[in-house]
Amino acid sequence: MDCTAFQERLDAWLDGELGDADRRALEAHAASCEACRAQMKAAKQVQDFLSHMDENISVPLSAQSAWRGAIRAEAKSQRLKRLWKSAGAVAAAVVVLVGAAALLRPQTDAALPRVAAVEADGIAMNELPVEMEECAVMEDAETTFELTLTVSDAAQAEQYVRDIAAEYEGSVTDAFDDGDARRVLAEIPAENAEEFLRAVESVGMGEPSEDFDFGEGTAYFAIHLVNQ
Amino acid sequence: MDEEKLIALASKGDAASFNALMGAHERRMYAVCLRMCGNPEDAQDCLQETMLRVYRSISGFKGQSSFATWLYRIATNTCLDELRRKKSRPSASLDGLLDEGWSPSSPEDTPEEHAVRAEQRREIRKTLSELPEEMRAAVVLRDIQGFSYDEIAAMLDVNVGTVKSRISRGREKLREKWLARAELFDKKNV
Repeated sequence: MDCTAFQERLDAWLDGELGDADRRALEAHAASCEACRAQMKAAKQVQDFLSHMDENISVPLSAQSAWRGAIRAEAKSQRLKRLWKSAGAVAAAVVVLVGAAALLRPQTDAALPRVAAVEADGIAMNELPVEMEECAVMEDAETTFELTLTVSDAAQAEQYVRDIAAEYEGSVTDAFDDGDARRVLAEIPAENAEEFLRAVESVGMGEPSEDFDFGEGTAYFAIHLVNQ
Repeated sequence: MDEEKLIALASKGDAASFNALMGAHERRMYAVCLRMCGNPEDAQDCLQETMLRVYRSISGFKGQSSFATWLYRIATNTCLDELRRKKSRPSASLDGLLDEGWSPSSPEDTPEEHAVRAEQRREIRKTLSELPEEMRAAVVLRDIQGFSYDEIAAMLDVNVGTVKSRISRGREKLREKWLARAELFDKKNV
């Protein structure tokens, strides 16, 4: 094997793709040629360095929050688009059905058009804007919405919750260790509460919440962050 | 929850599943962005843009390739797009990049040799960030991330021969710098 042939086979050797005969020829040439031996050694050293280079890389916290924030915004904008689409369709259906129900019954049952609208359009209840939905009304303004999320890093998740609370014009009022978990208490203006809840749910794994009427004023949240 | 289930849920717009799915790939994706873009600030932008592109198109992933191939194709293309867009800007200083400090433990290394190794590593990082983008992508995906030639060909949308040629030329440039550093040291110490 000459130096040219050696150079040509160096990459295959690095990738472990050289047959036995070629490999032996390569090693034999390297044993007798200083320049090629240096090439072979350098090639291996560079490859070893590259293969371990990013083993222990950590993603900066700012980079971690940046993309998660962008996804939240994207998810929100996609949801709004879907809501407007379905609200438009349901509003039209309700108008039609209220009209029809008025003809059939002298007294319109308030619940009837909504239920009929849902059946007519087959739209899932939780896609409707809160005002159009019949759901649990908060009698007591101080009711706290409880949520449990499984996360890989509770400290990081808590930071996300704080960021999200600020984004929705609320704040975290308290945070403390609760056994193996972290309990985070937050107050959010009621008009932002639903969006806040959806954003927080994306921080970890948990049961998707049923829709909830947060009423007016301030919504109170108790978020249980459990380490997986 | 397994990857397939997470992909199915993420395809329906479930942000929690998307985050869990991408959480597993985040570090590796960031590493690719960092080596392609050359600095943490641009890498952060690239990572964010990649995640958005993945989120918007995941419902179109039907298992036509492995999820990793599909994912890193998007990541690499996003990096290449960003690099082309930023071409007019001067390249950021590398002084901010911390030496990640992997070094083969070699008890025979004298302090001088250890210093040379550190220089060589810095030189490699710099040279890598200066390689023509497509050559850089091939070296990053193969020698740093360990993808196969077939996977890389699919990610870069070229044939395996082209991938091998780009890697070969990239490795040669890195090797030149490595040897130049070693020679400098040898000359000083003869």
